Amino acid sequence: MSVLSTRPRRCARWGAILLAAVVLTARPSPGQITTNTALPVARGQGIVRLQAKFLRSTGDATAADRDVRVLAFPVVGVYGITARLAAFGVFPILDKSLDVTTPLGRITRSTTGLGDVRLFARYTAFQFNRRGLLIRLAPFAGLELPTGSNNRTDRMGRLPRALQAGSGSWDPFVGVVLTRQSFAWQIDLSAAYQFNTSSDAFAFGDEARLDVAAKVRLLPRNLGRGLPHFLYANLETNLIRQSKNTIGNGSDANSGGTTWYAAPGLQYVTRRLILEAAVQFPVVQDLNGTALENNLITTLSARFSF
Amino acid sequence: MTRKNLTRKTGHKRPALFLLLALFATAILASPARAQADKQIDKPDITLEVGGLACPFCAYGIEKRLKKIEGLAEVSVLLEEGTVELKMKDGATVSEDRLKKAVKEAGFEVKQIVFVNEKVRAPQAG
Repeated sequence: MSVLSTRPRRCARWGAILLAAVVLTARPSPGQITTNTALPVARGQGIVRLQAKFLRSTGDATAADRDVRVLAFPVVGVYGITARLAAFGVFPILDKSLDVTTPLGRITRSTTGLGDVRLFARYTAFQFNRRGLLIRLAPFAGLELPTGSNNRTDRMGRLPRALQAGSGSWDPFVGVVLTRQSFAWQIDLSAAYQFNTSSDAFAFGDEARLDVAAKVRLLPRNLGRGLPHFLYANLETNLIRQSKNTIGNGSDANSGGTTWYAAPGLQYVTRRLILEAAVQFPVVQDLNGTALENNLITTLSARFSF
Repeated sequence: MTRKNLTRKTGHKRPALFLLLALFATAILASPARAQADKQIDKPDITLEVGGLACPFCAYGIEKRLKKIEGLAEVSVLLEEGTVELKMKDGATVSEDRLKKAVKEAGFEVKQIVFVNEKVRAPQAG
């Protein structure tokens, strides 16, 4: 019996929050860094986004002194089916590890592999176009598939649910995003809800999410003639509310809660390439019960259009 | 304890290193020498005024759809002007409807079409 297996609820909680932070912030469109956008994708246009994200949770007040690290490489693909309809896929490669003090000493448990793939579609329901100004409103809906393994083991036995690469469940989600973009700045507002279903009598709590992101063009000061490259300063916020997990017929009192992230970043935008970096830090973490709180989330990303 | 300390040091440094590299790369790429205009057309045959065009990355979608037009030789986006300039191959023509369709397929809207060279204007279908 591992120490971890006696604390599945607590582990499930940080795992759900970390997974949500990694996968749900894998925003694919040519907009912001951690927030969805409604910017258009042309018919037949493809966009690939490669990301590296690093998360860490520490500060465990218990004797277990848990230290959680997640290195994620979400690969995001976008394809314009029509001018209004775009298909998205998020394929996360995860490397998760947990250091914990047990009666046997300090141990590390870890897993690496493909996480749960997310597939969704976005439809532009409203658009307004003027010279140098664009407004779009686009609902989206999709499904998180149980492609990640949820039954991996190590020498201590089966890994806790949160340390598994996948949830094992089919989780639908819906949302809507509003974008206003001009030469000088852009703002995106996105609201989304994910219905997490159960697998093996366990379900992560449903998740509601509200993102607001703004960016301002720093360079070039004057646009000039042609198609200049842009350097943006970004400030994004992500409010995430997660319900309690369910185990069997009951709910886990040590799960769920509210986290509000702020994420300053930089974006370098050219005709076919975007390079960007952001650091998400939790402004508010109001979590149920006792559990680890997240530290910084660092994101590096590149997007290519073809 | 040694392993634990080592792990923690690495964990702290990795994101900081990533961010530093990103900022460095961004600063280089965003230098004034890089932030220059892309290739432009000397004597365009057609000028399109396009609504909604506000960033360089979105402009590629318009280029991509316009390049599907048969007989198109060159395309150049002028972001600040909100226009797209087109150069046709010798003897090639294109209709207004085809131009509007291409821009619409990119998710934008044609506000005005100016045929600088009337010889490239094809009659409207129907």
